[in-house]
Amino acid sequence: MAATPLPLEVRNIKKRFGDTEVLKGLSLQARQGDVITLIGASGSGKSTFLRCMNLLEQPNEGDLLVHGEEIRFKQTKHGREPADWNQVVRMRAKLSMVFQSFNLWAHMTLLENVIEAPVHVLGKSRKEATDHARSLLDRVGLADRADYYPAQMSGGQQQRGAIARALAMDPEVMLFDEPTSALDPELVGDVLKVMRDLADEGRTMIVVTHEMAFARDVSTQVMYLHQGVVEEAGPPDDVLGNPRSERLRQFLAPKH
Amino acid sequence: MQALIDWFTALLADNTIFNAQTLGYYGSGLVTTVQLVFLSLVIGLVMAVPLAIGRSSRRRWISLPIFLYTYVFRGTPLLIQLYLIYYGVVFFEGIQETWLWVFLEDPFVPALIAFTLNTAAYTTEIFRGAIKATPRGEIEAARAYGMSQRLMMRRIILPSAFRRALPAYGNEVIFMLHASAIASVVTIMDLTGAARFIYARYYAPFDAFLFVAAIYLCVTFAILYLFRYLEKRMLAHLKPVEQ
Amino acid sequence: MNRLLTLTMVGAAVAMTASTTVQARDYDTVRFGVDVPYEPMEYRDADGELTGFDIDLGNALCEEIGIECEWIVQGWDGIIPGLQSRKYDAIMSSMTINDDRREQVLFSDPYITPPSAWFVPSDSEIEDVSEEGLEDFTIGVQRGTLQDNYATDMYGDVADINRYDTAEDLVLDMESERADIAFLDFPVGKATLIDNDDYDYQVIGDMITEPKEYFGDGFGIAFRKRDEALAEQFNEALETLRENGTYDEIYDKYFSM
Repeated sequence: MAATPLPLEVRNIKKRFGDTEVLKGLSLQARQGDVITLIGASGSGKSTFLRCMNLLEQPNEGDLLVHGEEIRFKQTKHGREPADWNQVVRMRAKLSMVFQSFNLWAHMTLLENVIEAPVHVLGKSRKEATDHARSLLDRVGLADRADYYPAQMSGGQQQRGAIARALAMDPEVMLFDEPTSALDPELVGDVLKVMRDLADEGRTMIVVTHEMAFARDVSTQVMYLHQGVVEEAGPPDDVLGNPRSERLRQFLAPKH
Repeated sequence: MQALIDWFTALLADNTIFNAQTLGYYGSGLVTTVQLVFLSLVIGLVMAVPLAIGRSSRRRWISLPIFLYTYVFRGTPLLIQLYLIYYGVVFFEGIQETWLWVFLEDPFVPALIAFTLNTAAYTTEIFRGAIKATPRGEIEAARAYGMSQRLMMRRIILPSAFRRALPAYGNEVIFMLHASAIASVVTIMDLTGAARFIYARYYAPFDAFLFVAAIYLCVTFAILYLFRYLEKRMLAHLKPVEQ
Repeated sequence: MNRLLTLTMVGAAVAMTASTTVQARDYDTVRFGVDVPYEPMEYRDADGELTGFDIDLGNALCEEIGIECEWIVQGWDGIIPGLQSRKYDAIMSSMTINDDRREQVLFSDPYITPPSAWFVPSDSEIEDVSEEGLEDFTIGVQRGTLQDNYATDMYGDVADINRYDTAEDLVLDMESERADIAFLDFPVGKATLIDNDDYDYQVIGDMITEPKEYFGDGFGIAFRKRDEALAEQFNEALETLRENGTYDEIYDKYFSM
């Protein structure tokens, strides 16, 4: 029986910065429709782990498979590098990332931001991309902001716009790197709502976040990282409701 | 209307310094200045874009020679560059017999070469700084969305950098206009050269140089106006929304 | 007491202004403005010392009058304004006496009257110095000289005129073939181009001393207009030097054939 390939799988990812080993052999499997939340203290390596998945960081060791295709690496004098950058470019087009600081392209309007990658990376026609973009912006509640520049929008609007940009690529997996950490508390809710809707419609998402409510209510799996190692992993009710390790208990305890 | 024309012609005829002939010198001097400055700026700009990209490269065998070039041309006065190129070319034995001489004999060409190399060096550094200042997050997003290095340069980095460089480049344009005033030391009859000629002939330093200064001011005003318009359009993305 | 002090100060101020407004004052030292190089009239010798016909004659005149001489090098472009703004008190720099300049300065009697001549490389294509002969060629002159005015008016429509800051620059461009023919004071061209073994030039056409509106009346020393007494001192000294043979001595030193 031929198994449908996993949208994303990483095995035994190790990453060193200088002498410090930040990731000590992490693995993850994302099935279709999974919402995997990575939690942990700052410095635990969760963002680095996420960024290894689309090779914004180069892991020193480990395997990376996107939709069953294994990314090939080669050893150079600088360390390990992808052997074929065309393969990387193709792979990245299937994994959309949403950043903590939104990272919209400042010299383009919101609409232009959303159609940029579909037109220039995927080769879609401008018309097709624009129609799709408008419906996405409508979906995230920014239809009237299409011709605004990022500097003219609030943080929450920018992040929702960034999510629309990510959706425009029709990705296999969406990667979220602390999407609400840079937002004012009043704006967090709007963004989380959008993310929740995405999860409800069956998107495969990997989310690094501090929002425990989101983790508990929306994810299919929670992974708790500590110093580059997965301390606990499992369904949210288990990990968050019944933490086994002392550290995790302390991490989850109310901070006041 | 006729009275105005009569008054103007009478003014020209009476005057030793502002007569039809001298105005002709000023006029052709202005044309020469504009040609020299405009051409050197345009060619220098076209050169500066690939040079700036190369200067930002991590490969030292590309960035180092470009750095040496910009260092030399920013590290020496334009006047000396002009002298060296104007007089220097004739040190090659027999150059007068080659086809190159058609271009090099006329002082306009050596001056154009000197000015172009000079402005290209300064512009390269301006663009390089602007490229370097491209927000890292925008570059990361470009990479994360599958853009190749070339696509990223074309769609994200350069548009962002050009907008950032606009105020500094406007300055460079004005500098070149005024730097061109040295052209007359190699016999070019540019605007300042016309003033020097008329001053030497009629012993009228104030009249000649004040008049020419006024013309430079007008040209500068036009340049400022152009760049204000460009900034309005290209830096629109930084403007806050009117509430 | 206060009133005395005020009166004294006012009196001193009046005395000072009075002394400076009297233009025709006595000079102990005369500073000359001179544009160098312009061989053999004024140039630097091998040791870098100023020398030349103007220098030697000027020094001799000062000695005759009984005053000190100082020489201040000034580019030709600004040589008359320099006089007006008192950078120096006289100009002795191969300056032709003509009507235009008479409006700005006071001239001594002429002390020498050299013609101008056209100089070309020995292998030049130029056949004559008519308008047709110089058509489409490049004429080199020093900016602001009578040769500049003459060449511009006579040939400006048919030939290119290159105006140089110094005679040196003109020679450089003649050598590099950017300028085809030079129009200079004859003694200068002779000393710089013909007598010099490094170069190979010759005179073409006649010596030119007409028309007067350009060539004026020979070289004179220029003074500020109010310095009539000073000019008179130099005129008298010049006459004395001509009579006692000193002038001839200096002349022969530079212009013997």
